[in-house]
This record gives sequence, structure tokens and C-alpha cells, in this order.
Amino acid sequence: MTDAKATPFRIAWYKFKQRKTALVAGVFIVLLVMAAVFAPVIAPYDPYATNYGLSMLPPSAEHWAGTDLYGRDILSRILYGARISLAVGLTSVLAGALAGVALGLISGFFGGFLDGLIMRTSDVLFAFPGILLAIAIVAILGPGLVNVVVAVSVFSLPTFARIVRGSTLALKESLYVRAARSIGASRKRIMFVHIMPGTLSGVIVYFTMRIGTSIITAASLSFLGLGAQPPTPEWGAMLAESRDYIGVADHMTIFPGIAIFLTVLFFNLFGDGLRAALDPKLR
Amino acid sequence: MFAKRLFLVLLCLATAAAPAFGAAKDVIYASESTPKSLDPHDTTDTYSGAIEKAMLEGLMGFDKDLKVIPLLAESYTFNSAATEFTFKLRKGIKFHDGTPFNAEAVRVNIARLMGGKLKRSSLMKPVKELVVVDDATVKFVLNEPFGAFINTVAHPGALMLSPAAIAKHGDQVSKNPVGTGPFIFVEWVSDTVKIKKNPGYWRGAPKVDSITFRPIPESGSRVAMLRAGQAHYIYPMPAEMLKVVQADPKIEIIERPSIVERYLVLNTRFAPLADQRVRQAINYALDKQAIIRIAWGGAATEADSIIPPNLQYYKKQSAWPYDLAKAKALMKEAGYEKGFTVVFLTPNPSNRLRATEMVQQQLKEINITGDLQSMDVASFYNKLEANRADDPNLMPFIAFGGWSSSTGDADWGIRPLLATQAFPPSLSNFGFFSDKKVDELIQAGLVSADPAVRREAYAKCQDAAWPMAPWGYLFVDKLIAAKSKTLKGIYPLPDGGFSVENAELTD
Amino acid sequence: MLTYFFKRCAAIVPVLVVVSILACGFVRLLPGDPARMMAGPDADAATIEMLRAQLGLDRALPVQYVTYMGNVLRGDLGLSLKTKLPVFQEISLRYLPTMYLALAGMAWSVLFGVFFGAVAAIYNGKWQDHTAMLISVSGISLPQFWLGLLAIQLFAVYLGWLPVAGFTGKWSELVLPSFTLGATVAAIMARFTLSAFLDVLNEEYISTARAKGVPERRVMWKHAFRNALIPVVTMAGLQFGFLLGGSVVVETVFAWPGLGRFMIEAVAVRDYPVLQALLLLYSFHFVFINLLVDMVYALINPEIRFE
Repeated sequence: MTDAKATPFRIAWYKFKQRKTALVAGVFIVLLVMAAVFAPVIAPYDPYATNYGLSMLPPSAEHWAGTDLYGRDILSRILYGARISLAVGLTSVLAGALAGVALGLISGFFGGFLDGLIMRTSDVLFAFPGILLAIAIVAILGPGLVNVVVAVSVFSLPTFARIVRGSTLALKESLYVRAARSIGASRKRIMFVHIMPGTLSGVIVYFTMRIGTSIITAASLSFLGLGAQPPTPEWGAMLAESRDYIGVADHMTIFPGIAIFLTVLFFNLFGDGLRAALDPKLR
Repeated sequence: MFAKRLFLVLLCLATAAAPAFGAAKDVIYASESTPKSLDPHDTTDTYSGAIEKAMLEGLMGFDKDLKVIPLLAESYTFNSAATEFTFKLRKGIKFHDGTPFNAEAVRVNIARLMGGKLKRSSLMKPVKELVVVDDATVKFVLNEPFGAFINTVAHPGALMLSPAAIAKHGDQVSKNPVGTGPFIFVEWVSDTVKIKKNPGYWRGAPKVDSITFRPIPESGSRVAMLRAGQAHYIYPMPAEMLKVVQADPKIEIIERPSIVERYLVLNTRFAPLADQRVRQAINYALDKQAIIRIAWGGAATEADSIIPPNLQYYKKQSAWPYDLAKAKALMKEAGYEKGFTVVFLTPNPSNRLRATEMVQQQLKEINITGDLQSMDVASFYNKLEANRADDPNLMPFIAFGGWSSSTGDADWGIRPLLATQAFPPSLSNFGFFSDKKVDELIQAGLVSADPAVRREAYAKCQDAAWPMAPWGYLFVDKLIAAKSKTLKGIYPLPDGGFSVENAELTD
Repeated sequence: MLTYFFKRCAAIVPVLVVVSILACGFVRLLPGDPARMMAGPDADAATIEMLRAQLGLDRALPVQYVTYMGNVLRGDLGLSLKTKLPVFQEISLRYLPTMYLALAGMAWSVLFGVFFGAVAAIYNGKWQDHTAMLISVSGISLPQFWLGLLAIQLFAVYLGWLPVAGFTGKWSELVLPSFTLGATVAAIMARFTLSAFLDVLNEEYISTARAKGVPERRVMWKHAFRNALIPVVTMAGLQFGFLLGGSVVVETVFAWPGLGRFMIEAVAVRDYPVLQALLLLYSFHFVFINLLVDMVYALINPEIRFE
């Protein structure tokens, strides 16, 4: 039997496995993604199909999560809503990450005026709490999910930039990089091949944690009427519709809310596990 | 030192406790609409008009069944040709700012209306001149015979403002209305209006100290406030929550017949909607019973004419049936089988929003698609009023509209909505509908004082207009309000307004 | 100390400038003619031109900015497109309800957050720790508007203990909205308190105290807790910004007559002068609160001042 190599990946995986909650969360996330991807196959009904005769039915054998005001099956809407929330969450954080990483690398690597400019701008973006910035952006661009993605990616940007900049600054002076420079590697090569991978662990951790926030922000915007427009089956929009029927049809409030809560919870737990696994300093 | 501190603390406590003694009787009225203006001569919506009627009075008024009664005028006479109307004014009445109410005051108000620039100026179009006969008598001389002139004088657009207020504030009198009515204007702050009792009111001081009108467009919140005692009266009472409220022993439901008709304004300047077949298809595609049941909680009846049944000279047409196949056929015939895109506009009160969502769902079946835009009531009407017929960039909208004829008469239920003369900004023909035959019939009903002639004109008008489908017909409201049992004397009027002068709070 | 103060003030000036440029230029970012937008849809050409001249839209951008900021400093924030009333007036009406809400929310979050965090630290490793942390993560994962709806459902509709919505000045109306608002921040505070507490517990003076024979309780309370509170308090200040942001959603759920709901209404009708002013207001709040927190922290922690 050969010795397994103690690669960084293996060490991280071992630490990750130790936190059971994170593992369970990871499994659920996979299930969620599959449910979202296969929603058209799994969903028992068309999420847009209205049936006025079946308005606001409580959960039953035919409709596991009941029906909404217009007779649409809530379970199907939740499944399709998963596609929307995951897509919006992942896309917006990805966009923010890409832009943030690029800016962070440039900022840390070149320093000087460029660094100052980028950091000041991200300070400014920091000055707004996410949702207000998102609302401002939606006010300019108009309502709709696409603009929500833009808005959310914008306010994820600064922290990504900061994290990457920090790592870049540290790595710039490392032996590894100095060696590469001494053999004449181009700046671009140093930045992307040598430094960037070292920043990735921080990025990945923050990435997973941001997804939860993004999903909640997108749902909040839809709840306020600024994100997904009717009849889109977005979880936040579904909760907005249920508001007037508290006490009359509570199932309309409970199921979409549970969907948001669990999704975000799993992403957060997963992110926690990642952080513990990848960052030895933290608890 | 200590005694001083103790004294201050006690003083603070005393002042804090003071309001508990002799608590003022303040009624809270939770509405769904937001006020647009408090200048009666410039007001087009029922809600603002109803608030104005609590503070201002006209020569004539309406009783709770919308019958015309004398108010600031003691009596009136008119000549047989219906071209001269003489009013004898009540004596000894003063405006809230002390200005006496007399013929001169009437003259100032009518002159202001006749000046032509305000939204209700058209009310005085039939008038050639106003003659001040003496300090307590005025005479309207009309251009043409107009039998329904008494109704016009009773319209909230002809309420009397204090001439001093007009002189002082000019157009800003909307924020400073001064009248002769049972309540005095206190303030209009953001969307909330507060009025207080007029102890010197000529018919006797009101029994409550003040009334606050708070708009709460979310129907659930409105009901919640009533049940929690944070509001004494709410209108409309959302019908879908009737079950919940009926079980509450502290609350009473009031139902009244109404003259409020709801319809979809179709922008006929937009090519597809200019085609009559498309408009008819829209009507065939609307499942009105479902909309009534789900969005309106069952509190409405399907529209079966362009005016509601309780309006004078209504003639029943047949309710437009729900026939999706026919709708599709018509769209195909008109060349719009693939459909087109519009913008669905709606004010934000919950029931109207839901109804528009259902319209959006139903019209999708005939490939009419589009986004929904909602905003508060005042902004909604501002938006529609700002459109002009000659604007090449008009939004292709389908808007959730409605109307109640505050004169109780067919003329005011048709002319401001369908006549070519009624394009905004002049009146409320927001869809820019225009048809010569309909115009002629409207005119025929307007100029005559003979009930038989008018009846025939309006019958023909409804017969002609109905099949043309100028709107997406919807329904006629059943008025439902709800109030705390400690409140007496406030009730809804058939036009969706309200009467508050007999308000009384018992504990 | 004073030099530090001035240094920090100097540092926020560029941020404020950029923020104000963004807020001011906000309207220019819109498609179309800003003057037309501001004048409103029912304005005629003459009014639009007058507004254009008044706002200085026909002058160079820097001049526009200076004019706008000059007006702002004088308290003139323009007129609301919807109500035609001064924006300053509209905002001052709604300022207090939002402040009450935010402060009450802060109170909840500090109370619950610090409590749970401390419990988790004290019982480190035992079930209380895990439960506390689970509650904390759940708090972050709960959408505020859902929590609000559920709270209304339970406490107002079913139990009938508290009012559903609205604010007429009664304290009972503040309970549910502020609790909802504070819950998320409480979760964040709990995690932070825990790590702050743990950091402190690892310090030398703790082991010294223990070695000296000081009873465990005193160690926890007198030494650990009080020292851990310093960063916790500063964190609380920083979270205030988050609370202000969250108030937008909470105010909508509870029909609260504050700035948050005002902002949403303004967005719905494209009332740009109001939006501009609100953006300025919110961002200036955050920047100044951050400054305040920095100052408090510097006051307490002398090391920072001399960097």
C-alpha cells in the first residue's frame, strides 16, 4: 500500500470532512442544484398555469405545497424558483468575483495611483449597504432580474478586490514570486500564473459566503417589486403575493420562505466549512 | 438642587399624562387612494373630491342616495327654456377664515372656473355668464338649454372656496382649502390629510374633533389596522377578508350599491388597439367572473353597459361573454395572431394590482404580453393625464381604470370618458377613443332638458358604443366599507366617496 | 489623539466627495433628458427650459456639481416630483420613525447577539456553543421580510399580542419591526462576540489571573467579558449601516412611515430628486458612523493612534 500524499487539497478535504454540518450542507446543495436543473422534468405542473377554480388550496396529495391565489401549483413554482435564485446568486457573485479579482490583482500588483483609485472607489461602494446600492442601481436601470444581477455583482465587488489585493501584496514579496521575477517572467505571467492561484482560497471562501447574501438580496428586491416581475416564480416575489393572506392561506407564506431559508443556510454552512478547511488560523 | 430636578421630572410626567385627560375625538379613516389635490376646481378623482366635500360646500349638494338637494342655496328656480337658473343663497354663513358667503363669493368662484384653465373648468362650459342679482341671489345664464344643470352645480367640482383664500393663494389653494363646511383644513402632509371640526358650522358643529385620512394601499394592512383599533373606518374593505372581519364583534360591515365602474383603458393610438376587432378580442379573452372572484373577493357584478345600472338613463346591453376561441379568431382576422407587446399599468391598491395581474395572465392566451407597472393612485392618474394625442412616443398601455359619475347622471358617466373633446388634459378619455356617432349622441343627450329626449339619446349611445369595445369591460363595484362599532355616522356614497359630517365616536 | 482625528477626517473627505458626485450625477446617468425627467411628465416646454437653467444643466458638469452641493449645504434638496413639496421637508417627516426603528433594532441585536456569543464562548465546545452558533447562522440565513411576515403571523394575527403594522406613536408598534430588523445583525454580532471573547480568553492576563487563583467567574466577567466588549461595541456601530439598509425591507413589511418605504415609493414613481437626496443622506450617515466608530475605538485602544 502506498502512502497517500498530503497535498494541500487532501488536507483541506480532511478538515472539511470533520465538520459534519458542512458536509451535510454540501450534499443538500448538490441536491438543490439537481432539482433546479431538472425542474422541468420533476415539477408536477407548469408553474405559470393558472387555474382559478383551485385558488389558495392548502397542501394536499395533488398539490404538495398547495396552490397560490391564481391556482398555480406552489411546489412547481418553488422548483422553478430554485433555478432563478441559483442562477441569479451564482451569476452575480461570479461577475462580482471576476471583476473584483481583476481589480484586486491590478491594485495589489501595481500599487501607486491605480491602487489608491481602486481602493478609494471600493471604499465608496463599501459606504453603501448592499441593498441600498442595489435599489439605486435598479432605480436607474429599471426593474427586472437582469438588473438585479448587475446590482448585486456591483456590491460584491469591493470585498473581492480587497481580499485579492491583500493576498497579492503578501505574495508579491514571497520567495516564489521573486524567483520568478529574477528569471525574467513577464508581469502578466507573474500576476496570473504565480500570484492569482495563491489568492484563490480566500476568494473561494468569500464566494460561497456571498452566494447566500446574493440570494437574499435578489429575493428582497423581488419582494419590494423591484426584481422579478409577475408572473415570474421567484421566491421573494411569491412571498410578496402571500402578504395579504396571512391568516387565510398561510401555506403561501411558509413554503417559499423555507426555500429561501434552507438554501441560504446550506450555502452559509458550506462556506463556514470551507473557511475552516482552507484557513488554518480560524476556528 | 434635588427639589428642582424632582420638579422637572414631575412636570415631564404631567405633560406626558395630559393627553390622557379629555382625549380628543380623532377619527382615523384608512383609505386605499392617495389625495391628488384639495382644490375642487382642479380635482378629477373621487377620493380627493370626497375630502373636499367635508370642508367645502356648493350651492347644491347630494344626499346619501345621490339625490340633489339644496345646500348653500336655499332654493332655486329656472325658466321653462332651461337657459336661466336663479339661486337664492342662504344668509349668515361665513367661510372658515371669516369671509362672508354671498353672491360676490359665488361670482369669484364661478369666474375662476370659467377662466378655463382648471381641470373642472369644463363644468361651466354651458354657462354664458353669471349675473349677481343682489347680495343673496345669483343667476346663471346658459348658452344652450341644459336640463341637468342642477346636477352640475351639485358636482364637487363646483364647491365654493373662500374668495380671500383664492386671492391669497392662487393656484396653491390646493394646499390651503378654505370653505364653509363642517370641517376645517388642518394639514396635508405627505399623503395624509387632517381636518378638524368647525364649531361655527351653520348646520351645527360636528360631534368629533378631527378626522385624519391615511392611505394604506395594502388591503391586508388596512384590515389589520381596523382590527387593532388603529383605524376607525376603512374603505374599501377587501372582500376576500370578509370572513375574518365578520367574526370580529368590534367591527361592522357596510354595503352600498355603487356607481363605480371598472374597465381597462386601451390606448387606441397604438395601432393594434386602434383595430376594433382586437379590442373585441380582448373583451372575449377576459374571464371577468374569475377576476371578480379572486381579485375582487366577489364584491362586484359584471359590467353590462358603458355605465353602471344605478346611473340615470342606463340601458342594459348584454354582458360580454368569455369566449377564448372567438377571441383568437378575431385576433387572427385582424392580423395579430402572433400578438403584440403592451405595458400593463395599474394603481397599487392590492385588489387593482391583482386584477391587472389576472388580466396579464388572461391576455397571454391571445399573445398579448407585457410587463406590469404599478404606482400609487395619484401618480397613476398623473401619468395618464400627462399623455397627449399628438405625442408620437405614447406608451402602448392597457391601464386598469375606473370611473364614477359624481353627478349621478349619464352625461357625466360617458362624456368625460369617450367623447373626442375629452382627450387629456381636458377630461379623462385616457384611451383617446374617438367616434363621430358616439360624439353626436353624447351631444344630443347633453343639450336637451327633456328627459324623454335624453333617455333616447343615451340609449342609442350605449347601443352604439358597447359593441365598439372602446375599453376592456370589467365590472361594477359593490361598495363595502368596514368600521369600528364605536364609530357612527360615516358611510360610503355610491360614487365611492364618503360622508363624514355626522361622524360620532362613542366609547 | 487630535492628529489622529484630523487624519481620519481627511481620509473620509475623498470618500464623501466621490459619494456626493455619484449621488448628484445619479440623475445624469438616466437615459433621456434630465430636465425633462425632473420637471415631470406634465410640464410644458417653458417649465423644462426654466428648470434646465435653474439646475444649471446647460453649464459644465463641475459647475452643476458645485451648485447642487451648495444647495444641499443650504438645506435645499429640490422639490419632490410627485408631491411638489420640498424634499427636505418630506425627508424630515420620515427621519425619526426610521431612526427609532434602527436604534431599537440595534438594541435587540446587541442584547441577543452579545448574549448568544458570550454563552457560546463560555460553554465552548459544549452543546450550548453549538446551539448558539447554529442559531446565529440561521439568523444570517433568514430573509428579513420572511421573518417579519412570520412574526406578524404569530404575534399579531394568531396571538393578537402586538399590532400588525403602521406607526402612530405607540411603543408596542415598534416591537415586531425592530425585532425583525435586529435579528440578522444579532446573528452577526453573536459570531463576532464569540471570536472576540475567545481571542481575549487566550490572552496572557487571563491565564495569569487564573494562576493567581482568581475565581473563574470573576475571570470571565471582570477580565474577559469587559475586554471583549471593546471590539464588540465598535462592531455594533459598524452594523448600524446594515440596519439602515435593512430598514428598507422591514419598513415595507410593516407599513412603517420611514425613509426606507419612502425610498421604495420614490423608485416606483421615478421621483429622482428624492432618490438623490436619500442616497446622499444614507451614505453620509454611514461614513460618519464609521468615523465615529473609528474615533471611539481609538479612544479605547491607544495602540491604533500611533500607527
